Amino acid sequence: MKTNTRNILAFALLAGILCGAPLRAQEEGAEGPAVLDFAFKYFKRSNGLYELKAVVTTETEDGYVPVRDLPIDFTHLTDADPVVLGQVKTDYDGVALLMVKPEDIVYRDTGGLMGFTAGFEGNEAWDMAYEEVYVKDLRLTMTAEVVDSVKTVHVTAHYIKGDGQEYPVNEQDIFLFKQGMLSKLQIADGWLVEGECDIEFPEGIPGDKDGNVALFVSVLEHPDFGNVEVSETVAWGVIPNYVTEESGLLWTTVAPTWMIVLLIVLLAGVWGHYVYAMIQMRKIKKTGPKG
Amino acid sequence: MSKPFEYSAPKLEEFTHDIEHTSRRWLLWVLLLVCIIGLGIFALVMQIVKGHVITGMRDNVVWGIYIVNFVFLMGVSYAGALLSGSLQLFRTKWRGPILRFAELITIISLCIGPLYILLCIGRLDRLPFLLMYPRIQSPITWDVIAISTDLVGCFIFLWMALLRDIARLRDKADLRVPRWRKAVYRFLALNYQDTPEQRKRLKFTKDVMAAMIIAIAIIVYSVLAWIFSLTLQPGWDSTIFGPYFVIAAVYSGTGVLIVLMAIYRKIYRLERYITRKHFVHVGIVLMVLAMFFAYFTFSEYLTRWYGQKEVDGRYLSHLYNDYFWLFIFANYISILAPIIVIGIPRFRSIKTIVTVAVISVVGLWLNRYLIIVPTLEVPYLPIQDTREAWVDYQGTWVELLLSIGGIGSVALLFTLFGKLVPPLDVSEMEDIEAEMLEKEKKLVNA
Repeated sequence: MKTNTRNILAFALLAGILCGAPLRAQEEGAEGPAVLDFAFKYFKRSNGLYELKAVVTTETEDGYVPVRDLPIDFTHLTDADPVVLGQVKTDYDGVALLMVKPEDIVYRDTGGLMGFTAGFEGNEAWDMAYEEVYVKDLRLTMTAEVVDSVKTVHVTAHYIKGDGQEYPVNEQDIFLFKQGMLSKLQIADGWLVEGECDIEFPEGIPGDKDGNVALFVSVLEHPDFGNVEVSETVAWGVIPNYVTEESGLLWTTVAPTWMIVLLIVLLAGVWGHYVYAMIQMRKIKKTGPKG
Repeated sequence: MSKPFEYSAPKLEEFTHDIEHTSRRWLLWVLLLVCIIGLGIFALVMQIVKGHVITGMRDNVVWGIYIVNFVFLMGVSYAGALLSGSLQLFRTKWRGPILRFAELITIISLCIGPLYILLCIGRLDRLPFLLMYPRIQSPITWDVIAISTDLVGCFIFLWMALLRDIARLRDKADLRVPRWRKAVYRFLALNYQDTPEQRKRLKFTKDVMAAMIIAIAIIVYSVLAWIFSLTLQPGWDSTIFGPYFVIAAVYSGTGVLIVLMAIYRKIYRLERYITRKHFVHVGIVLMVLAMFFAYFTFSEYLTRWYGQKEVDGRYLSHLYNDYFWLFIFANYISILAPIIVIGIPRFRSIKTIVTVAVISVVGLWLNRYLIIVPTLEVPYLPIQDTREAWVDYQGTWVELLLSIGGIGSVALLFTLFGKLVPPLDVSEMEDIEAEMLEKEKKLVNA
């Protein structure tokens, strides 16, 4: 009996060492309305659409994790009642995204500020969350042209006030990006004066097989304009030479000869022995006395 | 003159009762194992339905406990092959009661181990692509070829090793087993009647296969090590990973062998045949392997630490801080325990040897965990734009249940083999007894 108890204790200890340290079961969320971490961003896209994006996360023991399937209400603020733009549920990454057309913008104050809100009204599980964004409507344009043999991107930037008139943006940084494989890569910048600026396109930027480069002119995280972007594709890139004649390398389609030979020799040697063994087993069967 | 072993071979009849009769205790044990496997199947279904998101594996740490189990079980399997091959080939005097365990360890671990690879793959439907479009340059392709080759070789070797006992079971007229099992015996026994010619042929072929599976075991486990070491991951890009893995495999397999000897000795009442001397002999093998393993481990970490590559520094810091106790257990306690306990003759007893074997096995599993998981948690580029909880790996209940299910499957296969063949290689042990008597006779005459 004593031995049994000792054995059980030893087994439990062993199981604890094996499983306890590296393993931990996934935990459920805490009870009651939990506090949400709510971020609301504005982005004016190249196609003129306004992107409203709410990112909803919550803090757990494992850090910040996205909250899925929460209905987020988006509105446009006016001098009267807010205009409802729509309701979007957060996705797997906790993101609710709404694209707003220019004709849906019905109000700008005298300074040109447009107001948007995003909010979640709250339920038993989650506390309410709400954010507002006020931005000026920036109209960016870009023209790619060669001026005196210099590849130049001409940028204009104007914002609209409440009276509907366009006013130039003055003394403001502007950035030129190139689309990379995974993200955008900044390749040059400029300084807006009276709503205009010329940015020189750097030489030696690699393009695709036809030399095309997707260029973006952006204003990022600006306190007045938020995020605004325009893009254009130009054939100013260097055409990369992908054609290389390589053979017998690890990354080529066909394996190096030595590797193929070695593999064949090894496999032939091993499987040859197996075949030999099976033939011997067959002979053992044959040489046994009948009956 | 003292004899190295007081040797007496068992009679087949001693084990026929267990082969013929199914006790209630045996049935309950099998039922328990089936329930454990059932839990594993439940976890598998959940994993298939909900996806790998319910495991702890994520974009960064893509390998977890499944791969640890795979590497561990494959190591145990190769150790079984190396040990049974070596014992057979070098005619070690004390091999008799150990051979069968080593052979069964080889086959059973080899059957269960690769299943963990399947559990780890998110898109099983793409698995045939590995065979349809293999790249000879890829270590993964080498591994697939190596494991399948090894599996076939081990099955042939096991068949040869069981042949004589199976033939005797076939010829035993009073053996009360179902007809289907007699048919299985007849099929597997291959008309073997123990004629001198058959015996000679079998012995020679078995020696050839023994030599073959030793070589294959070394190659196959080296290939498995190269899957890791041919990458540039800090902690994996090592030139000694091949031999390091082979030594670790034999070390863990020897530990498992000792544990298995103790379990079988208790269950089948084999105290007469598996004596303290057998434990001491296998224990000394374990101790020597522990020393080799210590040497490789020290060499591996010393060169990594001395090199002072920035990424290696981050890796070692992660290992020494976040995995401190696991590291201490895996690389200090599990190495020192067998060296101290078996190295000092006064401490050698069956209980102490089995205890240090268990410590070694646990330590070696943790060693694999430390090789795989912390390494993936320290990539060259910082992990960005991901959830904090996904940066470090945490195994979940799904992986735990499937691991326990794997242990249950291994135990079930051992149990079922026990119903088919005797736990000891009776025919081989009779040969050894005859050899000993012959030698003794010669000595007396001299």
